[in-house]
Amino acid sequence: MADPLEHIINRSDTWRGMDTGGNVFAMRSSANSDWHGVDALPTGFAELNRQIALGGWPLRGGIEVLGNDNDAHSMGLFLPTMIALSEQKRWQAFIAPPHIPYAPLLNARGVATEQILMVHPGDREERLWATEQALRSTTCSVVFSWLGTGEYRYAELRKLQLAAAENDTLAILFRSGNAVGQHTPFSLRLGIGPHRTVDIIKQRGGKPSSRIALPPEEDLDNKPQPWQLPGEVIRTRTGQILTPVA
Amino acid sequence: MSLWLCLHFPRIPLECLSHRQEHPAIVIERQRVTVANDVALAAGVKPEQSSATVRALVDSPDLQIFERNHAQEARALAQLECWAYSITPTLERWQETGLQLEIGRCLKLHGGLEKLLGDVQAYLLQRGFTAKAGLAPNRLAAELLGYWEDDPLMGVYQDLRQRMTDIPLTLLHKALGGEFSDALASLGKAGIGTLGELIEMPSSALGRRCGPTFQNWIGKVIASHDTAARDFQPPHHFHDRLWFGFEIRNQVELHPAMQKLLQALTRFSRTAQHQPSHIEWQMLRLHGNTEAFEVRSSEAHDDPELWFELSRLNLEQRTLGADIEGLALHVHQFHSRQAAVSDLFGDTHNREPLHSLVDRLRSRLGLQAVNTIALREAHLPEYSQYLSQDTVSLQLPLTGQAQRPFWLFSEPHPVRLENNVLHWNGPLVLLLGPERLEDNWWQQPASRDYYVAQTAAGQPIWLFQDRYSKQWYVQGILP
Repeated sequence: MADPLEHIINRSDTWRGMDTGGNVFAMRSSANSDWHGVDALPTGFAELNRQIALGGWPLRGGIEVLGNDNDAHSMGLFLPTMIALSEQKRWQAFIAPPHIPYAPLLNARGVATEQILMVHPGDREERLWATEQALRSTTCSVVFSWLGTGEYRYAELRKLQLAAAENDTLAILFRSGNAVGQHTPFSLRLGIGPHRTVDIIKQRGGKPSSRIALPPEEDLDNKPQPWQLPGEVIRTRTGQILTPVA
Repeated sequence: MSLWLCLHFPRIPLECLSHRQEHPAIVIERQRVTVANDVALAAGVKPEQSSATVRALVDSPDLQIFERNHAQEARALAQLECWAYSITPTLERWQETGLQLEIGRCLKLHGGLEKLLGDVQAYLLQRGFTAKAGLAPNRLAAELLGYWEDDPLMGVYQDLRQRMTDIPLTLLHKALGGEFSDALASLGKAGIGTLGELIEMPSSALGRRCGPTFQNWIGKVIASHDTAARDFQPPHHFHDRLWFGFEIRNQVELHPAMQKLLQALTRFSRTAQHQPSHIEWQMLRLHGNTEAFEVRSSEAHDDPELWFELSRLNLEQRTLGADIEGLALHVHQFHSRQAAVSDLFGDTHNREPLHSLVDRLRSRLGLQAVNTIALREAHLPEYSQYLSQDTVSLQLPLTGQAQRPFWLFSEPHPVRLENNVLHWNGPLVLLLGPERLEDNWWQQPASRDYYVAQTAAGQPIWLFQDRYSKQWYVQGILP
């Protein structure tokens, strides 16, 4: 067998075909074999952890989050992760974020706001470059990168995925929902459903799954958000001008 | 016993100036040749010739004639002093064009005399300086022997008087630069031609003939110990420059020079126990403007690799002008070195320092494009945080803010009120509120009632009603 080919096959992030009996070729670990390292980080949501084959966010494979124009909404999904990663005292990089994360909230929830590194690249090339730099550097515990609606070649994304695989930086890339038909090199592809639900569109070594609920009480130390409490009286001062829509 | 290394740079008046080595070049002072390069010497040019004679001898359009520039020479020597400081703290400038280094106490540190001299030679060759080296227990003898002996290592283990026996008095003339010329002339008349004969003279006779000052001087030349008045005080800035001797055509050609200069900087800053947090590059032209750019690091450090990478990224953002023939590195200010804190038990040993990513990103994207979020004690959400260029921000104790948005809009978005129903991406349902926030009374008073509402898609958002204008705005998105 040619050496370069063998090298690729032996990489732990390469997927391998099955023989007719349904066994993965060769014995060594591959991306879709049962063997996995401890390269997973609990998501903070019990049901989601159960549905992801690794038992949590893949630390080396990269996560692609597909959403529509308001990708911004999905951050509740990653808040427990940000809180957990604060212990690592490394950067939590936000590359090309749609808005500014609100520090008082993060602070109150236990995210170390001084770890948040805001990066505003100028164009698409700079965006890819900055994301790769952040992933390759060992200084980030997580890199959130908003790649936007632009078209990305597989090779460009594969480069990011390889950078993510190099060390223990969690890579979370937000892309437009239009990318759902394209191949992805990342080991987990999520879709954002209605508020506080998430779909697993594709994952290595596991099945897709949809509408996984993310109960807010799980990410807030079992304290429900006030607006989720049943029978909460809406106190509007004026009362008259507002008719809440049921 | 002290051991002094005298480095004499006879060609520094020319070497400190940018010139083409392959063409004849001379430096003149008061219309007389001071220094000539090999090509000019081969054409018959000699020191002290007039510039007119040189023009007659060298009939070439490529002849380069420079007026002697003492300021540039002094700068080059200062640069050499900073380099020499990494060898020994005991050093001083000697005459106009030399340095004296006391190396007897640091031989072990540098792996022995031969190794040290080898390093010195390699550095000077790399930087294009020609030097005559002399080694002796005192500075005067080191200088004299530097002129006299071809290899300073040959004689260093022999008796000093023996080594100096054959030095002709004419050489003393040169070393003394005109001083004691009467005494030397009178010795010449008395038939004394070498330093050996002079040393052998009875001291009373020498004193009678040449005076006590000269006698004293001879005593110093043969002394086995010599100390400098004081140790060298390293400057609090760093300047170094390199001339390529040709015009560079692309940025990559600058890289080796950058690395060389950064190595010199690192060497200096490590010895002087201080570190730069920002450096300035100057791309030099023979005539015309220099182009400068600064490279910053959020933490002071002296890692040449890191500085090189930042500089390279910075350079890539620029277009290179024409006619660039030299590169200079300046550090205007240093910070005292901070002891590195390393975590023995953490798994951080393989990680690069946190600031290195920030610096790398800023080098390409610009200072403004990378920042951190800092908290501020203020009531209005848009003022309670700010983007900071500092990577260390102050943490304020804030509590009871859990019902706040994850994302804050940079500008509040107006909300439509239609048939008593608020609309923003569909109709909104108010869930919680109001919470009154008022502030900023000293400039533009603000009074707002904040609510949590739910969009048609079920997403909680943060909105407020301005109590003055009655207008509704969405200001953020809850997690």
